[in-house]
Amino acid sequence: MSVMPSTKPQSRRWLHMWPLAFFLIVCAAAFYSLWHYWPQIILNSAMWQKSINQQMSGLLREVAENPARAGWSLLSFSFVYGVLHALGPGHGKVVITTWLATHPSRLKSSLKLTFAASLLQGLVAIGLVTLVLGILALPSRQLHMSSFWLEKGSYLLVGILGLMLCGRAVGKLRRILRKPVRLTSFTPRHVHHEKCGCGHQHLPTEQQLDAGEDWRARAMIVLSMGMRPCSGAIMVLLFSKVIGVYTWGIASALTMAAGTSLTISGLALLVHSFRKLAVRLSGNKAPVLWRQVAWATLAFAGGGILVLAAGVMWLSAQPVMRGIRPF
Amino acid sequence: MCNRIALFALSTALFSPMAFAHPHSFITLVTTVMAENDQLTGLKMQWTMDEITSADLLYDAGNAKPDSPVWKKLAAEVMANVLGQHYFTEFWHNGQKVTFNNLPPQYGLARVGHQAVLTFILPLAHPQPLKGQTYQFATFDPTYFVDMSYDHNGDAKLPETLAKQCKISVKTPKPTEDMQAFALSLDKADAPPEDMELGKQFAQQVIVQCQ
Repeated sequence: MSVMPSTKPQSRRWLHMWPLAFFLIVCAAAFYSLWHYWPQIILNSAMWQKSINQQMSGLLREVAENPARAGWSLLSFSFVYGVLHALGPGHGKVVITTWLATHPSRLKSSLKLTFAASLLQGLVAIGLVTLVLGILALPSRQLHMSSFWLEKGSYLLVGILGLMLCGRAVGKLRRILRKPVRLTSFTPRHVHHEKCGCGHQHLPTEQQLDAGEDWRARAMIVLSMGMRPCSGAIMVLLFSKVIGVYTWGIASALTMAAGTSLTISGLALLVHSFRKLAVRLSGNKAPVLWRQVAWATLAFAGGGILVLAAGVMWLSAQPVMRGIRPF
Repeated sequence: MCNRIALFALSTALFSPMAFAHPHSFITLVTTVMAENDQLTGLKMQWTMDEITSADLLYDAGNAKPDSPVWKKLAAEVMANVLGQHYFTEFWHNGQKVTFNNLPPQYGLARVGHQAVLTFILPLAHPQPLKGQTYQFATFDPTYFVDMSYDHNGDAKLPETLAKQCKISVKTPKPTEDMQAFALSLDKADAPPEDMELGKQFAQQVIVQCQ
């Protein structure tokens, strides 16, 4: 008898699951088509890359002959190249998405982070080529070798950042667990302030956000994202040096960085709004302790992901041959 | 829960494409079959690198003259790497690999415009009979970091002496046709590792057929 009433709400509950079912079907369809068309995607991207390479070198050659006419074409092409190239996989995207998904932060400061990282990446490429080829006049092998070590270094920083986030999350969890959560006394000490609307805290306050985004973590994020120079930018700089239009190479690398920052900012915006949505959907009913623990756990998981990613990238990074040339 | 799902979806989306490989360098091939006394002795190859990739070599060459030691040293360096990878070439006859001699009788590197061009002779270890035989060869980078391809079917050539007796053709894989084969090869756990290599999947096959 007592089972009877529970069956009806049960079936209606399933009806309300449709967004999840829809999501799963879309995911399955996406994965299937990705698997099915994978060879075609790879072949096509190879052809695009080939024509992009030719376009870029062609434009640089034109600039060498007629800067006034080809200059703008070169810069706009570099910008588009930056936008598109940043769509591919990259360690910087792993860092910024993990950070944004697992840590409460404000949009404006997140966008500042992505911009600073992209700018740094462009400047590192320019600085490296200028230093190694221009000032030290070393062979190009040294250029690729130092670029390789910068890459390794940036993966190391990703790992350190991950450990740092893990450590902070553990500290936070320990503080939360030690703190008594039940109201033990009801004394006049309890004053109504801005945190106190309905007995629990809805969102982290500005101060908490600031504390969560202390300068050390942010500097690590920018450095780990930007320390690895983009190999495309390095090759463009090298080619422009060979044909004697190095200044245009620098302009191209900087425009590329601007394009990259646009894409990564878009990604940051996406992750940011996803997180806000998730918080809004799940957050209001949950008790404050649950939410504190959840955020700390999430932060720990984010740190873990970064450590894992850093390990994989460190191990898989190898001095790639340039063309058919060994290191 | 929502949080977790969103996170999981995001992290898989970000990590999985790391396996995604696309070529960063492009080499255009021109190959001529070499024959002597009605026997196939080797391949004469010309590899033209794209301008951006060439910048590396051209920067190191600076203003050196074509016959200068600078170019010779660069040529030796590139050739050593090509040899280290078995000329990036596989040569088949009746389902068996034909072996190469690991010492090219002739090689050189030169500048053409803003491009570096490597030319060399790939000698077969033992000359092979031509009459009534079919040979197949492909030049590719297994990792697909470098895309090596023939721009035109006519870029794989026969010497004039064989023009009547033999036919040569370049077969470019079409993704739609080979998709199933590719997917199946990924399923085969016991497949030899080299069959799973990306570069091989997309390699153009040159077929030489003689009467």
